[in-house]
Amino acid sequence: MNKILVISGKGGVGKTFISNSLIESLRIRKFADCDVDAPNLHLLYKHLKTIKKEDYYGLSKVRINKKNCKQCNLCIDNCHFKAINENYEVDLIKCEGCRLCFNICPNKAIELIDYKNGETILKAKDDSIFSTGCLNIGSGTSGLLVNNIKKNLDLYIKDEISLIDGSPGIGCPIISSMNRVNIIIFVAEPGLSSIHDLKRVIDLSRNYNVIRFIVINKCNVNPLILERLMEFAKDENIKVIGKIPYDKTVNDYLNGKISLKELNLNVKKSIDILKDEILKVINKEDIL
Amino acid sequence: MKVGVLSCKGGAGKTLISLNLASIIEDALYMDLDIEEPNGFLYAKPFIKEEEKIYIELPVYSLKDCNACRKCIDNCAFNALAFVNNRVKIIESSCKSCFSCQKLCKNNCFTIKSKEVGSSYFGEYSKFNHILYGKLNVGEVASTKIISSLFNNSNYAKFENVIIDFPPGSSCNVIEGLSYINHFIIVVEDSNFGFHNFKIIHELLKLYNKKIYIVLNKEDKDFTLNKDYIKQNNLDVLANIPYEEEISRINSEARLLTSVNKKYYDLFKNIYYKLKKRIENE
Repeated sequence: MNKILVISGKGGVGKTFISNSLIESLRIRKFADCDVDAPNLHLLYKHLKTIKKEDYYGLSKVRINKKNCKQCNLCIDNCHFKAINENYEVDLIKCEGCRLCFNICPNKAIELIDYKNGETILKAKDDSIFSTGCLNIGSGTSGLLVNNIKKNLDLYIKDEISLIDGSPGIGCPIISSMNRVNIIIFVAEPGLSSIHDLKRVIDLSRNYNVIRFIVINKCNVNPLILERLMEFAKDENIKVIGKIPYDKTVNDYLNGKISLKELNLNVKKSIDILKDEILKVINKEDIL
Repeated sequence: MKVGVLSCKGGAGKTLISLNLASIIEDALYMDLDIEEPNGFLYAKPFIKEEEKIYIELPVYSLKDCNACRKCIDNCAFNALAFVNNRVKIIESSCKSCFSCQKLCKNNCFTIKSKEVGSSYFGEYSKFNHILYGKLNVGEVASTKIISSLFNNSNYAKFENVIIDFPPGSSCNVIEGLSYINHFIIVVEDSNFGFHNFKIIHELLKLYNKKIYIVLNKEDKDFTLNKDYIKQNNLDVLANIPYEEEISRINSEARLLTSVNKKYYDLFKNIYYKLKKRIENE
């Protein structure tokens, strides 16, 4: 079944807006926010009710039981993450949970502790499912959390198109997001930074067997750079399937002041065109 | 002064604020920590004087003395080892370089190798202004290694004034950089998404007891959540930058605002003086 991932390389170009527009115009019933560092899609789906909330535990971390500790320093000397200080205290943010200290301590002074990294949240209304999550402040291991959010998406509705709003960058959350999707929509804006960042995330996607498209957001901001972006897409052999203009009503919509229907007419038209283009692809892919 | 610029939300204006600010400080270093998607160098167009490759260490397995005890596989917390065709296979993309496999192996089957994961670049973009930035190789995941190596780069210590452009988000990459810096500018995008991410990064900086200053960017007169939050938390605002088409056009062409228009030059001079005064008075 079709799984669409929306990513951009650069942040702030409009991933969440494009995701939301597609979810609404295509009536997608399964969608997720995998930008676990800075989730935002839920702000547009406040009317959905939380039906499941689960603590997300990464790997167990360690604590040193000072009663058993003979201060041999084996743990300190062998910790590759420099997570244990000279007072035999473990920095839980630096500790990656490799358990090497636990395995080599001759005095059984190391204890494993569960460490909550964040939570996964499943929201629903009528027949829609929205899977999201967030990291605890100061936590890492976002790649694993992304996997869990994606798994949650398939819990209730099977065999149906789904859409994932991704994060910026090219790091571990993005790599986890790209697994097992078959369509990637790259959102770009006519800016040199966006083109540069887009190139890197496109390069990353080459390792995956996916169909790729570009949607240009804020296409009217700079006509000259827009031309460069179009040329770049051509060179990369990736089709531009939508161009959404910038208009103040988009901000007003995202800020909750107006509804989708009240968006500027040109913006609405461009979303309609994008929807039709994607429908063509989806219908073709489903037959395959 | 060494000041970090962050925002959590992407596209809020971190690079815009940090590079324009660094550009008007004589003999300052602009350091770009967004090593996954660095952009500052596009604006600065620097003459690169030094380039350094950055490596991580990874285990290497040799079959020769292996008695297939699988102790290494059973104890790899990251599932980076597998037993395939009667030998151990290392999945490098999952390996976190803890070297449990090497330390726990009784038969010394593991050695260490270096693998290039990215590079750092140091250069100048005017007579008085310098840039230090890193780039993660596409497909690699060792982002934090590149960030720590930028702080350990000898050029970082040489400069008294450093403006540090942080990566977006709030997890590993950001946290890696936090420990080196005490003063931070949060760039707040004046929108609902901006507000939500502002709260996340504000909580994070409070947790680490950092000194916090605010620049409100793309100010929207009709939007009040950020301004209310700033007031409630008694936060120190250095500047309100309105949304202007001219700014977004100049920015899209990767040009420095301070070199285009005196108005913007004065804006950033003003931010610099305020910041300097605040830090000196502490």
